[in-house]
Amino acid sequence: MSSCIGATLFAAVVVGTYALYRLDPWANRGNDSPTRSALDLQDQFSIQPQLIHYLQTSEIPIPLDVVRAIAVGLEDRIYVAGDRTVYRFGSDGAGEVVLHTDGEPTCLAIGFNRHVAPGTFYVGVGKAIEVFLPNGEPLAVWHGLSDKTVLTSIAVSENDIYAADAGERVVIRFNPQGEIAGQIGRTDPDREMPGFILPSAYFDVAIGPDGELYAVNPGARRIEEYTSDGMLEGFWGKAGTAVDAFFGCCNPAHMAILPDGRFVTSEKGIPRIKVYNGFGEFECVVAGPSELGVRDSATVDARLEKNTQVFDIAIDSQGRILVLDPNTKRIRIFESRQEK
Amino acid sequence: MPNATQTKNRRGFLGDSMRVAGALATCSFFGYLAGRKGRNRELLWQIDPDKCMGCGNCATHCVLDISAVKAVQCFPMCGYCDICTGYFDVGYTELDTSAENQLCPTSAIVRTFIESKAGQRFYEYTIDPAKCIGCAKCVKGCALMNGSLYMQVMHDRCLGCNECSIAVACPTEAFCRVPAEAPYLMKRQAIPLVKKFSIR
Amino acid sequence: MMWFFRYLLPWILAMAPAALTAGELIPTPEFSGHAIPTTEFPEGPADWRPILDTAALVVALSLASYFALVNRSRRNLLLLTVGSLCWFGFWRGGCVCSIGAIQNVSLAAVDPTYAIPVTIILFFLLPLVFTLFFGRTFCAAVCPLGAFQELICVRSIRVPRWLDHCLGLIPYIYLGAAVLLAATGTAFVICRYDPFVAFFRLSGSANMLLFGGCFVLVGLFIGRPYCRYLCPYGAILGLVSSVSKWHVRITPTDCIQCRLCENTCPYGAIQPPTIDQSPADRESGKRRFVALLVLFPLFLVFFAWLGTFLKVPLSRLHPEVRLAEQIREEELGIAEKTTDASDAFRNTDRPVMDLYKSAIARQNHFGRLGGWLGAWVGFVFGCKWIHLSLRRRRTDYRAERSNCVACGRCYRYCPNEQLRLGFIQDISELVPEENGNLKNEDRRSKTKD
Repeated sequence: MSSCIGATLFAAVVVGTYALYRLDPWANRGNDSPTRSALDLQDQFSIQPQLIHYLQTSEIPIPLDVVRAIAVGLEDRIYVAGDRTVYRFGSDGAGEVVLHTDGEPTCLAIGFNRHVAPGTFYVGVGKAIEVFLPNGEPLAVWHGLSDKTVLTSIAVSENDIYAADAGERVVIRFNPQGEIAGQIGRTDPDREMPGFILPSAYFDVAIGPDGELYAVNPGARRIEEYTSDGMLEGFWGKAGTAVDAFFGCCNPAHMAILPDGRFVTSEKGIPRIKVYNGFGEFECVVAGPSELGVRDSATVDARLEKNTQVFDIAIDSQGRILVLDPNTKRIRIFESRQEK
Repeated sequence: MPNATQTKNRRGFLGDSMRVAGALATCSFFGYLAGRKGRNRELLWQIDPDKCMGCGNCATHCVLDISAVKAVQCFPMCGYCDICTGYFDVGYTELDTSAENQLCPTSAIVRTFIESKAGQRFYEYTIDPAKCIGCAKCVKGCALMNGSLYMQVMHDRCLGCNECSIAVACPTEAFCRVPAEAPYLMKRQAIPLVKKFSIR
Repeated sequence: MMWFFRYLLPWILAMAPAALTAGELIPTPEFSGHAIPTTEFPEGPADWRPILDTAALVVALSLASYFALVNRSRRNLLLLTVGSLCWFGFWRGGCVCSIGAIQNVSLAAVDPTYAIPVTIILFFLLPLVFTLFFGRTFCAAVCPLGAFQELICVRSIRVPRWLDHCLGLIPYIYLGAAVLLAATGTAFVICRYDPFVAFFRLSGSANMLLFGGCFVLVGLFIGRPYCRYLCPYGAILGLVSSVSKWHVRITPTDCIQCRLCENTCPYGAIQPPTIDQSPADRESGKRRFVALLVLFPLFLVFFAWLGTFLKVPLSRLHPEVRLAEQIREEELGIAEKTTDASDAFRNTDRPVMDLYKSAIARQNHFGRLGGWLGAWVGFVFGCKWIHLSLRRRRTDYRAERSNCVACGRCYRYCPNEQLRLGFIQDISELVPEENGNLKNEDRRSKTKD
């Protein structure tokens, strides 16, 4: 009997010690535990390498505290708006402040060669557009927008300036004198215009190589083409998590058009920059979350205000894609692998 | 034996005084400890939502079978999106409420249509705390957009363990002790929004 | 509340202006006919609950002391045991408890920012005060862990004396380690490795339940294994109890040396009378004692030196040191994969070197603390050694003051108790032969000589 008890006690001590050893108070075995219940975004955050046709070739640090928008001006010089200034980078990466704005800029466009006033700066500041000469001298301030205005993007065509107003949910067309020449995209059941669905203040416009106007309709997860007098010509884009679709409630956040007419889109939520051909068919990925330095664990981490991972994009004349990285305050330059 | 009794009495008295003095000294030391921080209220465990990374340990490491931690919705921070990344599974095929399209493993999120405005359909997402198991899937999903869903320790369920097991397992040390009179926290981004909506 | 002011408020103040600009969050729509709801939160525990707990503690302590010392009723003590188990164990889920309160008190003594609730102080203090006057009546019938073990002790075997002495040192070492870890804010190990709390809550991790189950299995055959060989609060109470004003006595009047109680204590707390030593033994005992006193400081130093080797294992209990080790492994490419903690660390912009520096400082701190812990262990060993070499003369069967938990099992084995209760009328035949039929008074005066 006593040997029975002794054996039981011995077994209990052994099993108890083993149980203590197996205890996992720090969840060390958590990451590969079958009972792990966390949302796994690994598949969405690591994009298949064969889909990525671009390569980051260089990086330019930006000496600004806040970066808001990126644009390419004459001679492929890069401009970044932020900190109540517009900053210009030379070809060697060194830069200087070209102009000071009245308030915090939210968007930026620069007149290109065929524009009526090449090199002119159009900067969205608050509820007005501030216009500057190529040398940085202030030229005019275009008021006349509504109280609800939230300027999110400016695009220039040969003869017009288009400003995306997320507050009024329209694209406003200005003539070079700063007069409002028209409103595009207002909801109009008579003309079967559904209007722009803008859950958040991300609303981008861009001009195609032939002067046609493209606007993102983020709430509908599509890109729409308009004539200069506001007729909806066509649209493309589908919603979904898959790599060829636009993710979440309101994407893409930014858009740019390559010289050959292909589209480059930048999404938020799952940050990814992708290329679509002129018909809106998915072509390739420029950069996924890992290329942009965003881990899936960082999306929830609110400690450093990093929960909005939105990357503005611009394109230079050689088709290089310039990505404004607000986290590292750098410009990442991507070039096509095939051309390299 | 009067002498022996006297000695005994003296010793007894000495012992008693030592005991009383010891007890008083200990009591006053602890009185000092207690009084040092002023009025000491009960402390409760809570999650600082700004530090939470939605790792899912809340669901598995609570000493309760069904965790005391649950997701909550901060309505003034919610975008009322139609495609809610906290509601729909990453691999959703249809925008409906069928289980395979839902991210929540227990269907604890209720999706209610509120209004259609400017072509946009708005839905309200409410957590049913009875069904929530605290896995933080929706929190991580929602963080891809607004991040209005966050984790909180529910004090009707929390046992108030002296050492919280989830706090030990928490990779970001998001658990903290909060005073019992203000037992819930919110994201610091939400504070101005909540104020704005409560003034209305 | 201080926590809020120290950590959260500066944050809020610092971050609020920059928190929201256009375009960062999807704004909450303004509906025409729908008000934005406010989030409902369940209320926290009621204010009266801690007061009720404290009141229950006072009542239970008073009753336990009364039942053990005055009423001398094992049955009443058992009823109280069940009551305490239900209240402090099952209803309150094992928290708040006096054993765990050691850690809160240690943390509060070292960290001035930690506001310790009054309830926890009272839970730590009241049993101490009661023990100072009445012995370990807290262990008898108030402590839920003690109560649980008291009820499952069905067939106790006697632990060999040498093993009992050795294992009896663990509580002091555990106490030292628990205080050290709590005071550095590293871990509350007493709570983490509480074997019975999973039963109180009727839930817990599988490993914890298995560990608790093994403890129960041991507890069936070895009386109160936690109280005797682990409980750090029991160690403190044992010390206090050895100088208590009153204490449980096996016999209500005088011991008649009948030896009936000799084997009744499942916890090995009943000590037989001592045999008188020969003068030669006494002489060598004295010499040994002096030698021990001389060796004692060397002993402390040696163990303190040993303790410094605890630097690495102790520091690993701290999350920051663990994180630094993980990050280092990742940097060196040894780590198989990242952990949640290392992912979270990399999401902050804290430099790796900063983490390393902090972790190394912490490790060195733990090295010093390990030395202190080692010295404490040496002190405990030395004291035990001295204690064992001291010989006190005992004439009666007595409950050892520090080990006796006042469970009251031995009462009914004493003929004098039976006499007191009126169950028997005459105990003269029970008085052992070798002492003859001497009256108690005479025997006492004889042994004293």
